[in-house]
Amino acid sequence: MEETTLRAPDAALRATTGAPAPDGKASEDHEWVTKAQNGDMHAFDQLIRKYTPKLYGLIYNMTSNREDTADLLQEVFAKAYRSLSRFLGKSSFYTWIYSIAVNMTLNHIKRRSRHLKVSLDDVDTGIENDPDFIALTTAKNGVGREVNIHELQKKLNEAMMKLSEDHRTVVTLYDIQGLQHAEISKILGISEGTVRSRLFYAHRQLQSYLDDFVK
Amino acid sequence: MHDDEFEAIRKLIRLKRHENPGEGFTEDFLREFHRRKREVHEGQSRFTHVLDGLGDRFEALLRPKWGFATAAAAAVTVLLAVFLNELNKEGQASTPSIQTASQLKDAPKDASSKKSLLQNKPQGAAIPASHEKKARQ
Repeated sequence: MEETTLRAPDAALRATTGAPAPDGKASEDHEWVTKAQNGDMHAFDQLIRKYTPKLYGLIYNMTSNREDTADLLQEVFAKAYRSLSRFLGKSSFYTWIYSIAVNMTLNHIKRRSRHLKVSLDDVDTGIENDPDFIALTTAKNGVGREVNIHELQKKLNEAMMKLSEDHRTVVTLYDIQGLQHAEISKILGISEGTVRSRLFYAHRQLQSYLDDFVK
Repeated sequence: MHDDEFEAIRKLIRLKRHENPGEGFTEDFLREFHRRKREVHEGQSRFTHVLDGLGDRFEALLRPKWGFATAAAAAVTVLLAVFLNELNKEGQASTPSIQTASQLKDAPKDASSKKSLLQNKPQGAAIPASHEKKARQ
């Protein structure tokens, strides 16, 4: 079923998540990619610096394991480096590298499905000043009480891990990373309708898991 | 699902962006990337170096001028081996073996040893008459 009524304020979300803008810095990427294709390793370093935090967040929120995330991210950049000569620029670099990261992470999850272990990163102190966190703990539809951050982190991760890999991927890309439906559709190679539909079902599931925090 | 509930879920999930690996991760990550890349490159170059070396040797042997030299060297080796073999055969023919010479020398003188041999024969063993005669002489 396609969910059409729920639209994200994408620009605002981008501002808070630091998600890559579709056209904004694409020319910068293009320049670095061209230089890297001509053997300039420093240009590839710039791409690594730019995309490491974003791809780390993507892989980490899909695996809930920081050691696996660091290893997988190394493999993602190694693969991107090896395949760079075959990158023709038909899509943007960020769509291309996100696709590599998503595919490699999904393969990893399938391979290790029985042995997945949770090891979480620390929550930064910024969460206490986050307007969403403040609103959540004070608003009527929030929990309206003191929330133990670690308890919240644990609960959020448990809820995420209960989702199927496909649903977890769209939630990570859309809700946490702030990408648009169209961008997610290109990265995953599925229609925008499917992206919306997966998000709808994922949110419905999350609501049931996180009932204590949203009512 | 109501829009506010949807929004509340989104806000809640979005808090996960505060989970991060900490400062300095990107630079450490970059250093690790270069270390692994160097490792792979060194492994590959060692392998290709060995392959190149083997390839060069085979190629050199197949090159016409080296091919001639190789054939000449092989021919000289074979000739040398045949010559040495012949020399060895001749040597063996002209000098009798040590065992044969001592046997020839000792045969007439060493009758006593033969006797002792005869004496050492088990008792009651039949000694042919011709042998006894030779021993007395």
